[in-house]
Amino acid sequence: MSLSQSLSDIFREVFNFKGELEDDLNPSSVPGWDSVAHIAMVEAIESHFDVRFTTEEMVEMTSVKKIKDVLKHYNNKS
Amino acid sequence: MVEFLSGSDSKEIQDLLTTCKEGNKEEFFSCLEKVRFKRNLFPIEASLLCETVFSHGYYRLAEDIIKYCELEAANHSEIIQIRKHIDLDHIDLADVRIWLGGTVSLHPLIPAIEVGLIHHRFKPFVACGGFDTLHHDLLNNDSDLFKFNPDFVVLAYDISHLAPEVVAPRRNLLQAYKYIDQGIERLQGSLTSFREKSSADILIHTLPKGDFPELWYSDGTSASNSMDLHTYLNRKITDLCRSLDGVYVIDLSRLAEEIGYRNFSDERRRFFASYPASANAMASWGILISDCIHTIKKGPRKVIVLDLDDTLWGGIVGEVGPLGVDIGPQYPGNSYLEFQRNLLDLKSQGILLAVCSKNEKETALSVFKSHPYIAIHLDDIVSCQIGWEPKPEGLKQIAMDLNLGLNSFVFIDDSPQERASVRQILPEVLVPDLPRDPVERPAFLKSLRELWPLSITESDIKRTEFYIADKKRKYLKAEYEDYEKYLINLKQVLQVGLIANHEWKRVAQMHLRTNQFNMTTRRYSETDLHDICSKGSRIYTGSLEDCFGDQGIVVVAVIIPEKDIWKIDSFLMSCRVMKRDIDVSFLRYIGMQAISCEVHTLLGEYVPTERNKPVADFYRSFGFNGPSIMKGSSSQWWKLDIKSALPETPAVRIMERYEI
Repeated sequence: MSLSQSLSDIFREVFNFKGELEDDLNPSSVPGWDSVAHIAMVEAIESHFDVRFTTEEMVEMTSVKKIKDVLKHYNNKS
Repeated sequence: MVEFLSGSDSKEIQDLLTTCKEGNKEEFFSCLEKVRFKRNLFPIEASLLCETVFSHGYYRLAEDIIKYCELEAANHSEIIQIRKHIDLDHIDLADVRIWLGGTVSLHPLIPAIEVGLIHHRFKPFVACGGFDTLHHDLLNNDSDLFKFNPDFVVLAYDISHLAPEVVAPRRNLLQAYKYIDQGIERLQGSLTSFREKSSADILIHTLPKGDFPELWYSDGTSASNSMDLHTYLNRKITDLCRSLDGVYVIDLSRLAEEIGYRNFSDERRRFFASYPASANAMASWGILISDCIHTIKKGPRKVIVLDLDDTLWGGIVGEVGPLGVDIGPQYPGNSYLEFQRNLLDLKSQGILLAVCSKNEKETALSVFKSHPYIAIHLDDIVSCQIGWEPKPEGLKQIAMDLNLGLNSFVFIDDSPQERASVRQILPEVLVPDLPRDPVERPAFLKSLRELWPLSITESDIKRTEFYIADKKRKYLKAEYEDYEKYLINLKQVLQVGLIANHEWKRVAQMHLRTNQFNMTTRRYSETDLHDICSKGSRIYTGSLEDCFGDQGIVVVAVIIPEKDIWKIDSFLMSCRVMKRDIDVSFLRYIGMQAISCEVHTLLGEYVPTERNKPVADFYRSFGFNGPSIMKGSSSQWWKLDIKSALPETPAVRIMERYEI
């Protein structure tokens, strides 16, 4: 499963977002993406990719692009 | 997808998945039944099944799947996966409304509470209060809590809000106990004020030790060490249950210990979102809350039916003889011995122990009579079915013997085949999967949540005694051909009067548990009863003593006095004393009380249910006229003009109880 497909699934699960996954999606363009849902999204990503982010990284992940950037670090590590 | 599945029963699970793919709904249910005869689903299997059925276009099967799932060990992602496939709007189950309030964020509890309640066959409506609105919600009539009108209010808090001075910088630890007292007083004040306005049940929590400042090596020696503070706080919290009714405590501290503080806490969540615990901890916590709510609504299970060979003792008595079975200080006998001792603990909380075993009766009984180490004795057991009949038959016999419904039974047997046959034939009996290794069984027994009592009254402690005395009454009855003569020889004395201070709990318990001899099945809690009394109703109770012992309160009536009529709003009697003229003598007493208040008419109501058909004609046989039935209501109304003679009951002596 591609990264985009996985994130798309997670977005649908957490935010009930059924649209196209684009890099610039962020809390203002995704309804339901509040701080409560943010932590659910982060935990869903961690669970899916079997990683654990630092709190700083978690705070950083405020758009699809930024999420992908953070995940890049973890792909490189493994 | 099926790699994780192992074990000989994965074939059933695979069949289940195949029926989904083939789109065969009937086959699916038949396969699901076959699986659950063997064991409950693991959460991961349930979550996968939910996803599979959903993706094949079968919506609304998730509720049936989680009916057969062990949820205690479910982790966060399994709960989310299951919850995803549930459509709350289309669940056809009894409503239950839960309000979550507190000084921490409790949103993550919601999916687990919802899944847990659906598993227990309720339709959940769960709402969450705002951050740190605990006192505001409880105290203000126009708060969101009151608007929501919950059946249950679940309150969670942390030490920094409950007693902030205990963890504040530059704190004076020697004053810590005073700070705790102040925090508890404030909470008690809010709960008391809430209680005056609402009869919703309240669930509060003990606090995990992790919240407290630790002193490790010096902890035990310092003046206000955190170990002691922690115990003190939790003791004051549990005391709140005694000061108000309808307050229950969930031991979160214990849950944190079981999971381990490292797994329980998640600092990132705590600082970023004010969540009190990790995702997995909150999943377990939510399930625990749903189990508690289930027990409050349905009552805990009452009877444990035990197999003997390789369950109560190691080995097969028919093969090794009564002295050859394993019970004793050495392994493996010691694990069986502890298992027996844990069963006796349950007995002292009010659970009844029964035996159902395939054995030669005398051989099996001789273990109880002659084994030097056996802890359970024959007079700890209220009913024994030892023979060669199939176990479902034995269980039905025990149910008849004890006059209790099979839905209050737990069946413990080491044999998977026996368990499967009971699960198949008697689905209302709880049949947990006993661990194969005997050393795991004592802990397993303690983990069966459906046995955990909500409160323990005198009647609970003496319950086994009561049942054994009943056996003696049965033997006495057998000696008399004339039933009336037997009753008179019982020398029954019924002590009657208005409800006394120490009786409220028992009267509420009877309202919750009595199904057969219950004319209107109104499930009044202690709060409801106090409420009813304050509006002018009278609650009468009757305690029975006969030549075999004291049976405590056995009959209760709630009377609503109206102009010239006394309306019998609730009339219930313990099934243990049926056919002993107690019902008639008590109703006669109430009739006499009415006369002494210059009232000459009694109005009785009968609301038919599945369980109370045996009492449909009670009022008629007493001499009431009726029934008259109002359109649109299932109630039957019966009227008695007390000027005519009331039935006599020579077999029961009525003694009025006076306030001293």
